[in-house]
Amino acid sequence: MTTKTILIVDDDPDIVLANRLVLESAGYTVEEATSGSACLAKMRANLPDLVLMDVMMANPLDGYHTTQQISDDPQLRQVPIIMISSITTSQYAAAFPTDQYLDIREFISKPVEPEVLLAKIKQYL
Amino acid sequence: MSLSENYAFERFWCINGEFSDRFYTKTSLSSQLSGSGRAMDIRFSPAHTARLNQAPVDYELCLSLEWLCKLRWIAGAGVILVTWLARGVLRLDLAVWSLTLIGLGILGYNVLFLRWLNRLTCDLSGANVPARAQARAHIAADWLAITLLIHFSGGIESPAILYFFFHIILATILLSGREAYLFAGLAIVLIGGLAGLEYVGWISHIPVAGLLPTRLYDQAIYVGGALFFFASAVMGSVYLATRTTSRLRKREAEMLTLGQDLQRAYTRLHTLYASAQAVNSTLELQEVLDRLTRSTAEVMGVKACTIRLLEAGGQSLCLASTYGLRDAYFQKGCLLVDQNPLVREVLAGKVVAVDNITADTRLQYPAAALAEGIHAMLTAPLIGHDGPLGIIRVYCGETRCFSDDDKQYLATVANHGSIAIENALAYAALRNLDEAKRKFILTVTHELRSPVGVVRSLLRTLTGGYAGALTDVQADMLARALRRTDFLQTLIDDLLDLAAGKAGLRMEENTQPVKVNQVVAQIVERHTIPAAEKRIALTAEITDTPLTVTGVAEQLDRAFNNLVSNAVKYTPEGGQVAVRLEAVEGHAQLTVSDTGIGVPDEAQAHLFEEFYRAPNAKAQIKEGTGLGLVITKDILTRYGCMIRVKSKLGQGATFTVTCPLASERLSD
Repeated sequence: MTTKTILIVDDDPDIVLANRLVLESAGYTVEEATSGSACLAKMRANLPDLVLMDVMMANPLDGYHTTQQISDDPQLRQVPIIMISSITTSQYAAAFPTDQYLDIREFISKPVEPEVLLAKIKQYL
Repeated sequence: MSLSENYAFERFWCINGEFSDRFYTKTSLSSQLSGSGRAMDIRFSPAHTARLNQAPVDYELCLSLEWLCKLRWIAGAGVILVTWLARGVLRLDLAVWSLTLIGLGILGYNVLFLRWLNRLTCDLSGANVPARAQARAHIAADWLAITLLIHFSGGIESPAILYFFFHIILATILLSGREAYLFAGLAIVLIGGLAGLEYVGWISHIPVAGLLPTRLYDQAIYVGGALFFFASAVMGSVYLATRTTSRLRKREAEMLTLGQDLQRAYTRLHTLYASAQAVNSTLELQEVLDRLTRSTAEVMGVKACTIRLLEAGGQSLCLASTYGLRDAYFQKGCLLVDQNPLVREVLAGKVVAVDNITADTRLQYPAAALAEGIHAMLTAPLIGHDGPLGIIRVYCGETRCFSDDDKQYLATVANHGSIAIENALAYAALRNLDEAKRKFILTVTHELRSPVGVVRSLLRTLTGGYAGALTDVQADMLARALRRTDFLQTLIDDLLDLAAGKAGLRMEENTQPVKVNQVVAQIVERHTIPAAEKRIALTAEITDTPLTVTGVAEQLDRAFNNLVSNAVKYTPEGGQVAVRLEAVEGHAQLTVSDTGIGVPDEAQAHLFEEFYRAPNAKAQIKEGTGLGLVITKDILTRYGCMIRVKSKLGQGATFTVTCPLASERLSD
C-alpha cells in the first residue's frame, strides 16, 4: 500500500510542525505550503491525496481564494479539502464554492485535536 | 388676521420685510416644531388685540360721535319744547320763533351729521383722522348753536349759559387736552364777545321779559363778574376734566404697552420652547446643529444662520451647519481666530452685531458676504462647560436690522444650543468609546486566541505522543501546561463571544428554524462520557414532537451546553443530572436539573453577571471564567427565550429555559 500524501497549507510554521508530526506518526507523507500560490504550485507539481487548508492566511491568496482557484482547475478539484478555520462556527461555509466539482469535505475549527484530525482524514482517504 | 398680530411680531423681531410673511413663518414653524400640530396658539382674540393695539382715543371718539348725535335730538327738541312751555305756561315773553328756529337748526344739522357719520366706519385700524375732523365740526356747530341760543334767551342774563358746561365736558372727553383748552377759550370769547357787544349796543339785547326783575346786561359790574366766573368755571372744569382724562389715557397707554410686552415675552418664550424642543429631541450632532440653524433663522425671520465650531485646537472656526446660504458662500473656508478680532470678541463671551458690513473692519471676508447679499450680522458665542465651542451667527440682507431684543434672543438660543451641542458631543464620544472598546476586545481576543491555539496544538502533539515517547514527569508537566492552556482558551472564547454578542455582531447572522430536539440530544451525547467518568446518572427525556426555535443552531447549542456542562461539573460523584425537553404552552421548555452543590440564595441574583462565580462553585472548581451563564443568557435573550433558576444550597439546582416556538414559520 502506497502512503497517501497530504498537503498542509498554513502560513503558521508552528501549526505546520504540529500537524506534520501528527500526520507522519499516522503514516502519511506530508507536503507543506505556506501560501495559497505555493499550494497551487505544489498541487500542480505533485497531486496530493488531500489538502488541509487554513482559511485565514495572509494575502495575496487566502484559503478562500485558493479553494476557488482549485475549483477552477479540473485537474486539482478532485482532491478533497479539509478547511481549518479559526472561527468557531461554520458561518463561512456558505461563502465557499461547494459545488460538485469542489470537494470541501469538512470544516474543522482551531485548535484541532490530533485525534479529531486523524479521524476526519481517515474518512476521506 | 388683524394687523395688530403682525405689529407685535414686527416690534419684537425688528425685522425688515412684510408683516404677514413673518407671521406665517412663525406659525408654520411652531406647527412644524410641535409635530403633531399641538402648537400653542400664540394668537390673541381679535377683541383683545384691538384693545391692545388700537389707538384708543380715536376709536372711542369715533364711537362717541354716534352717541353725541343721539343726545342732540334731545337737545334740539328740548330747545323747542322749553321755549314753547316757557311761553305758554310761564307766560314769558321770549323770541319764540328765533329760538324755535335754533332748535330746528340743531335738528337739521344733526341730520347732516348723521349722514356724514354713516360714511365713517369706526374700524380698528389705528388713526381715525376723519372722525376727529367730524368731532371738531360737531363741537363747532354746537357751540355756534348754544351761543345763538344764549343770545336769543337774554345774552349774559340767559340761564342757558350753564349748558355750555355740557359742551366743555364733552370736548374734554373727546378731544386732546390742548384742543379742550382751545375750545374753552373759544367759549369764553364767544360769551364775552356776545356780552360785550350787547353791552356796548353793537348788537341788540334780546331779553326774556318776565324772567328777571331788572336789566343786567348793561351793568358793567354784573357783566364783568358773570364773565369772570364763567371764564374761571370753564377753565377750572377743563383743567379738572383733562387731568382726569389724561391720567386715564396714560393708564390706558401703560396697559397697552404692558399688553404688548406680555405678548412679546410670550412669543419669545414660545419660540424658545419650540426651538429647544426641536434641538433637544435628537442626540445626533449634525441634526442638532441643523435644527438649531433652521429654527433660529426661521424664528428670527432672518436671511440665514450658521454655526461654526472650534477646530484645530481652538485656532479656527469651521462651518458645521448652515441654513439659507448658497454653497459658494461657505466654501470660503474656516475663520481664523488669530486674524479675526470680531470672532475673538465673540468667543470671549459677547454678542456682537455688525450693523453694516462695508463699514466694519473686523471681518475676515467682507466682500464674500456682500456678494451673498449680506449687510448685517449678529454673532453669539456657543459656550460649553469647558470653554467656547464655537459661534452662532445670523445674517440680514439690510443694514442695522438687529434690535436689543434680537441680541438677547440669539444669546438665549446660543445658551441652550450650547447645552444641546455638548450633549450631542458627549453622546458621540460615548458611542465612539463603546465602539473602540468593542474593537479593542475583538482585536485583543483574536490576537490572543491564535497563539494560544498554536501552543495548545503543539502541546497536544507532544502529549499525544506524536513527537515521540515521554517520561512520566514530562507527560505530567505537559498535561498541567495543557490544562492551563485549555482554561486560557475557554476564557478567550468566552470573552470573544461576549464581546461579539454585546456589540450586536450576531444580529446580522441569518437566524433560521432550529430543531432543538436534535441540539439537546447532541449536547447530552457530548456529556455522556464526562458524566460516566464521575459516575453521574445523566438522563435525558426529549419529546418526540419536533420543537423548532428561531435562532442559530450553534449558538443555541452553546447556550444549552453551558447548562448541562455546569450541571455535570458541579454535581459530585454518584449524583444525578436530568435533561428534559418538552412543549409547554407554545414554548419549547428545557429543564436541566442536578443534585449538585446548588446555588446559595445570595448568589442567585448575581448568577448572570459577568465574571461572577458563586463562592461554593469557586471552592469546588478553581478554574472557571464566570462568563458561561452570561453568554447563555445573552444568547437566549437574543432569541426571545427566558431563563430562570431554582436552587437551594447543597440541594442541587434546576435551570429552566423557555423559548417561543417557530412552528408557524416552519409551516410556510
